Parts: sequence; C-alpha cells; structure tokens
Amino acid sequence: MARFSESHMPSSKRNLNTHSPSSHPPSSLVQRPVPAGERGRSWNHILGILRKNKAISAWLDLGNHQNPELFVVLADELSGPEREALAAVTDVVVHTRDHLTKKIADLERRNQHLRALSLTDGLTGLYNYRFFAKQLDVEIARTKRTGQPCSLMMIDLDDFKQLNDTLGHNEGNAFLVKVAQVIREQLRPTDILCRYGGDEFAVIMPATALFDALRIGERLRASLSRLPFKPSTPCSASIGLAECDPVFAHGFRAFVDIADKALYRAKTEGKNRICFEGTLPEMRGVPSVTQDEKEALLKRDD
Amino acid sequence: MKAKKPFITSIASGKGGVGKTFITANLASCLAKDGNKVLVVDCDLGLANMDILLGISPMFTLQDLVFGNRSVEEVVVCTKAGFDLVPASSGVKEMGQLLYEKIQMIKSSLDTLIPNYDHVLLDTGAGISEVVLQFNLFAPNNIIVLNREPTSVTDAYAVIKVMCQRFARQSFGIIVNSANNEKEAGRLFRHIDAVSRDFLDLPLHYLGYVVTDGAVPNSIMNHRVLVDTHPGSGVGMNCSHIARAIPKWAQQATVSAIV
Repeated sequence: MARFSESHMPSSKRNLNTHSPSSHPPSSLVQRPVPAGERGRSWNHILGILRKNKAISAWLDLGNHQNPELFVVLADELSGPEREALAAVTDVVVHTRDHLTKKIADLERRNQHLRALSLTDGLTGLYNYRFFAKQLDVEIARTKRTGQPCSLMMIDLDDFKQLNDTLGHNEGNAFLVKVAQVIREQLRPTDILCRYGGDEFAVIMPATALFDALRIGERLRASLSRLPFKPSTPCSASIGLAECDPVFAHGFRAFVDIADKALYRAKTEGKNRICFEGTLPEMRGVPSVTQDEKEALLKRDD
Repeated sequence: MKAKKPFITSIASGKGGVGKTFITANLASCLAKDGNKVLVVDCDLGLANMDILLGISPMFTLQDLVFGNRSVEEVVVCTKAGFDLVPASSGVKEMGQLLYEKIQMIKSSLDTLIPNYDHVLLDTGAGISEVVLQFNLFAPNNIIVLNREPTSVTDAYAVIKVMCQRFARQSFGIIVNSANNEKEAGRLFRHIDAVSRDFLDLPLHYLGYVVTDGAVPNSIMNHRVLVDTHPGSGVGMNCSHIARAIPKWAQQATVSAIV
C-alpha cells in the first residue's frame, strides 16, 4: 500500500468526500507520487479503471495530524491486474463483498482513539483542559437557551505540593490518579469531570442548581477526606462552586473566574471546605400549592 | 444513664408572626416543669428572637459556632424558664442563607449535645427556605403552628406539602394559636386536615390550641414566659395540655415511621 508524505496531502479536510470518476478526477489523485515500479503506468490507465468499474473513491478523514486522510477506493468488478494497479496508488481498495463495514469500523475506532488522545489527560484519563473549555461553552449556551441551571465545581487538593516535594512526583502522580477515581465515584453519569491542571479538577454539572451541586460537593469533600494522603494525614480538598446565570452568562472564562473566586475563599478560610458564589436558592422544583388546594383551604365551611 | 432517646421536635410555621417562638418557649417551660431536661435550639437563623423573648443577652450564639471556633457547649445557656437554650443571632445575613455544609456542622454539633436531654425543641424559621427545611428534617417530629388567618393556613399547608412530597415526611402535629375558643380551633384543624387527606392522602395530628389572651403581649413585653408567671391562665393550661400530648404523639409517630 502506498504511503504519502504529508506535503502531498491535500490541505483541506474533507470528510468522506466522494468523487464520481466520470466527473473530474480529484486533483490530488493526479499529484500523488507513483512508486518507482509503477512509473511507466499512465494515470489515465488508473482513471480508466475507476470509470470502467463505476468505482467510488473517497477521502476518509482520520483527524490524525500525521496522516490526516486515507484515500479509499471502492470497486466491484476488478480484474487481478486492475486491483494491483489501484492498490499501488491508494491506501485501501475494498470490494463491496469485502467486509466494508468492518473496515470502516476499524478506521472509525482508530479515529476515535486519536480523538480521545487529544481530549483526555494522559495521567488520569479524565478530560483535559481543552475539552473542558469547549464543553463549558456548550453548557453555558445550553443554559442560556433552556434556562436550566448549570453548576461548575473547582476542586483543589490542599497542600498537594508538600506531598510532591516529600514523596516525589511518582507518588504524587499515583495519588492524583486515586483522587480522580474517588471524585468520579461521587459524581453522577451526567457530570463532566476534567483535570484542570496540576492538582486542580473541574466538574461541569449540567442541569444542576447550586444547592444540589453543594450536596454533591459535600459528599465529595467527605469522601476525599477519607483518602489517606500521607500515612498519618488524611487528604483534604477545597472546593469552589458557582451556578451559571442564564441572563448574565458571559462565556466560560467569566464563569470559571467566579468559581475560582469561591475556591480562593475556601482556601483562605482554612481549606477543606466548600465556598460558593451566589445565594442559596429558595426551593426549586418543589411542588407549590395548587389553585385547587388553595381554594379548598380558603373555603369557609360553616 | 438514660437509655431513652430524646424526643427531637421541630416547631415551624408557614408564615411568620403566628406565635411560633412564644409557643416553643412556653412548651419548653411546661416540659421542664414536668421533670424533663429540655433544650431549645433557636434555628430561626437571621431572625432569631428567642433570646429577646426570654430577656437574655447571650455571650455566644450559633453564629460563633459556625463562623467562630466556639464549641456548642460554650454556646448553650441555662434560662430562668427552666430549659437550656442554644441562641442564634439576629440580623446576620449570612446566617439566613447558610451553606449546606454549615447546616451539617450545626447538626453534628447538636448531635453531641442532644443525648443529655429528654426533649429537644427546634424553633425553626417560617416558610420553606432550604435552611428551614433542613432543620425540620433534623427533627423526626414536626409541629406546625398556625392561626385563623387564611395566609397562615395556606402557608402551613405549603410547608406540609413540601415536607411530605419532597422528603416523604408523614407525621405532622398541628397547634392552633390565638384561637377564640376550642371549637374554632378544632374547626380550623379539621379544615386543613381534610384538605391534606384529600390532596396529599396524609392525615394530620391535632396537638391542641392556645387561646387568645390579653396577657400574652404583656408577658412578651416583660420578657417573661407566660406559663411561669400565670400557670393557671387559659394559655398556661393550653400549653401544658399540648406539652403532655407531644410525647404521646411523638412515640406514636416514631412507631409508625419504623413500620
């Protein structure tokens, strides 16, 4: 199978951009370097094969920076030599009777793996800052559109630097992995846990009001404090909380700043605690007295 | 050592100004007279006034427990009325909107204090703010005080509905305050009880009533607990009647809660 250097790859990303060979051939196909043994074969010959067999050629976007795209040909009635000729200049030649779905699934799996690599943190496996920033913007937009609350929790381990300095970075990293696991266990499936950086974690809590976020935060703080830090000292974390205001939502940076402010307060007020920005809401989602009930209550019976 | 667990009872109202604090103080005094060790906790954070009613100026309050580093033993005071009090501070905005964590902290401090008593009465604030509800949840037995004003009835019903539908509470005791007579009080109770049975499928428990008495404003002005100064008055008799009804009801409620 032919491999091509990056400089020859088309710069624009096309996702399954199919070409019918009867129309203009893809220009990039013509630019492909031909392996030494194939030099004599004319490109017209290749295009002829594509046309004759009503073949479909496609660029598959892999999202990978080294090899962003694959050139795939799908053709049905190829003779042996035709198949060979095509195989020399394309990445994959598939027959419709081949397990096309399996091949695409393989490519998709590889694609996903590569995408995951660019969105997660290598140490803890949590989402990284890049994903966090993107997703928080999405959730703020959702809050603005639906009016549903969204809370943000910033978690910072207390005195983590000390642990790193005394026990070394390997131990420190192993501890961070454990912390990530403990936090994950306390969250709900819809919460998005990210490693914000260093020993700081961020949790995006969609459709969650401040008070519910507080409950979860308290549960989380308590479970972290049961995690042994050093042999004799328990671990503790400071937590800052904020709820996205659908009216004054100014994008993710402002939202993070508010939660950070709360986190800073938690640190200065003595660590191992939760602080929040905003007021404790009156009851939300609580059944209020209906008109029928009110009428029944106010009815004068005698 | 007592093997009995203390009765923890919250005294709430839907609307402010129905005499919740007055009733709490008088019930506590009656229970104490009957030989019980009684603790009253002023949970009406932000608008606390049990201390004013009793004419004391406590050195420390719940605020010092939450924001200062005072222990609950330093905060609790003995009163002339025969019961102990954990006072709160008035006019402190942050106290009215306490963080969930702080509420938990107050609760766990109280946990250490409670085993010393037979009865613990929580004077919670009016309404259905989260802080009020949290204190109501802390008490297995919830008393709601109301009077004949229509708004006090609808607001009392709102508290019951929230506690019932959100927290699955099933046992509410009702005290009718400032009633003209027993008949009127009974009618008021039957009315809210019927609505509760109809809409919530929840029968309420009638604990009693307290009559309107001109001596009440005077006792408040003089910072005295009325049952101490006028034990034989109508109000005094009513209060001691209710005080005796509470343990029976609470025991019954606890049994039904276990079942």
